[in-house]
Amino acid sequence: MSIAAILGLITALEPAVVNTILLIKNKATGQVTAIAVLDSVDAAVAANQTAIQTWLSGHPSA
Amino acid sequence: MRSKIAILVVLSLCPFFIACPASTSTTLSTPAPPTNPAATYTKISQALLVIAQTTGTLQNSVIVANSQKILSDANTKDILLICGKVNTFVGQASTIIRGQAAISTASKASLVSLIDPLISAFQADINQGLLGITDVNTKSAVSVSLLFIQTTLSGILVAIS
Repeated sequence: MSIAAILGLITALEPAVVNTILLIKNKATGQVTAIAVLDSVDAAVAANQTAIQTWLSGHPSA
Repeated sequence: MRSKIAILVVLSLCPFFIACPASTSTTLSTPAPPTNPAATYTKISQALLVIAQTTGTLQNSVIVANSQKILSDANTKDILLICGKVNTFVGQASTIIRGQAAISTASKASLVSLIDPLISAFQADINQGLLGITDVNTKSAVSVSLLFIQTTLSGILVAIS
């Protein structure tokens, strides 16, 4: 298939198909980004809970 | 007879035109922009991170204020317990949405069931936590942080609704 034919095929693609391709691309990218963010979330939560427990154990009468 | 054949030809081509609306009308063939579930997923993940970081900053501030005798042990404990509830929610929310390509309906329901009671109790918790703080600056700083966390929690609720 020639380049012109491929370009013609791409041009002829329905907008819905193009949008679907974009959606899949964004979904994959977004998921990777979100997982990295969630790793940071978990680390922050763990540090926060440790800080609270440390303070509470140092102030048993509070 | 010719007109009948013409009608039959037109009718037989109808499904083709319906299946290929771009060839009949550009406006009709253009679908609405797709809602991107991954965008919501990313948005909520980032909101959770903001909440976790703000909570951590607040905790450190009240612990420092307590060590400087600006904040009583009772007030510090009240605020830290609020922070503990927020941390628990954020951790659970992270577990619920992790590994999903997009947030499922079931996950949304789980998040709502966690976040609703938290937001409902938040104002009372804030009032309780702020009640005995005498230092104006500390009270203001704690209040601003807690309200920011509350607003961000509400934002998550809006994003998943």
